[in-house]
Amino acid sequence: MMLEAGLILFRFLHYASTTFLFGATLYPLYGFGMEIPRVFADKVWRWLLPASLLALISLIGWFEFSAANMAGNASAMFDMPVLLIIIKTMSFGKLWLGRLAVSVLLVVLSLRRPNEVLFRWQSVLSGLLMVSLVGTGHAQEPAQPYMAVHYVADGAHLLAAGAWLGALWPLAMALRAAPPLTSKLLVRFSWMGQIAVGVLLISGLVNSWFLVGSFGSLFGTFYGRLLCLKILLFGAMLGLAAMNRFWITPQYAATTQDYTLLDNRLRRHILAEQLFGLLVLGVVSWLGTLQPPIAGLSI
Amino acid sequence: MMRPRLTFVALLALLAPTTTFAHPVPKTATPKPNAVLSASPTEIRIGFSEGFVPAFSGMEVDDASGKAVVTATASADPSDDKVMILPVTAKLAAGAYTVKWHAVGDDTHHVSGHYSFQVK
Repeated sequence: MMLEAGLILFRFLHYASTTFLFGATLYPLYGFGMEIPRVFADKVWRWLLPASLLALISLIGWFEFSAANMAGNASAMFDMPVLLIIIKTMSFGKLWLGRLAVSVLLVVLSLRRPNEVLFRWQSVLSGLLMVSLVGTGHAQEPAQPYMAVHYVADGAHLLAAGAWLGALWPLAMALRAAPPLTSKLLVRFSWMGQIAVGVLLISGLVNSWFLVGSFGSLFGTFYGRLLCLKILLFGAMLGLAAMNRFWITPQYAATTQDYTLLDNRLRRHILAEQLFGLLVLGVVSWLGTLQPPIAGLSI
Repeated sequence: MMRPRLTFVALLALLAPTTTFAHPVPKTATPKPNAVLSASPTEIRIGFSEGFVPAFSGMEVDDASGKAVVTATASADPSDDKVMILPVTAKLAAGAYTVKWHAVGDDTHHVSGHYSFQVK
């Protein structure tokens, strides 16, 4: 039980840190439509070192707790022959070595002074870190001929989630740093947001079909019910995002009065969106350790 | 300076899983579940949908009181890495037996289960 809890915790920390790294480094590249303002670049960059260190530590923790869960005892975490079996004979071990190298590179890059090229590199490498999580979810279960569709859907799902959720924090910083641009910043963000939501909906449906298989399984199994909770939380995020886009953004463009009220409301919405997003990641971290209904045992 | 997008594609190709990750799901078993045998079996075989990692997988046979009666170590069939074999060296007396198995697939997930058979 403790071993499972440890694995879920490190999965969550890794999802949260890589999501942030990807979304936060991608946002400055499309959020302004011009050169990234120096003050803003410095503010975002300051968060990249702790986030990339967390990604590195949680990647190691995920590996260690996976070893313990597979072997069925905690001592496997420090058992070199066991760890070598994972690295040498399992796809997971080889994938983790590659992901470890990318994580170290992210830490090293975040130690340098920010510029636009480095932002591009950070977003590419953290995107790679995100998309390579495809191999560790359930994008593999049955239906061999459609495996590629499932892989692509899972990869797109991860990237879209990162682009949306990870960008919320720098968006809040940008709004604070440049109040006269609020309306423009929101419109630019919402373009990406709408694309991300579209991708999340389609890829989420594809993945659910592969893993759950039927509406009966959706409500009749623990996995299915947890997936329902994830969809509810996603719905709450979507509701807040729609309010920001279709209710608050037009008011910024139309109003010439004091923006304080709107600013406060927007900030609360973005904060709530992030909290719901973190809860979604928590549910996802748990889901990944459970047996999906489609993989039901036949004897 | 290298181009980030090209590097992304190149690194993605390197990190892309080369084998399919999947839970091993049992598909066949000998003796069959609920089988009534006229003699003690010499081995237990379970065929899985995927290969499993032998170091983290195994099975045991318990008698009706829950005591493990087969002490050998399960291993993969050398000719088919999807088949787990447990040699039954001792002769099983008449009675009900439960095969308890556990397997870890390439995706790191742990799956387990059990089934029963009888010896007359």
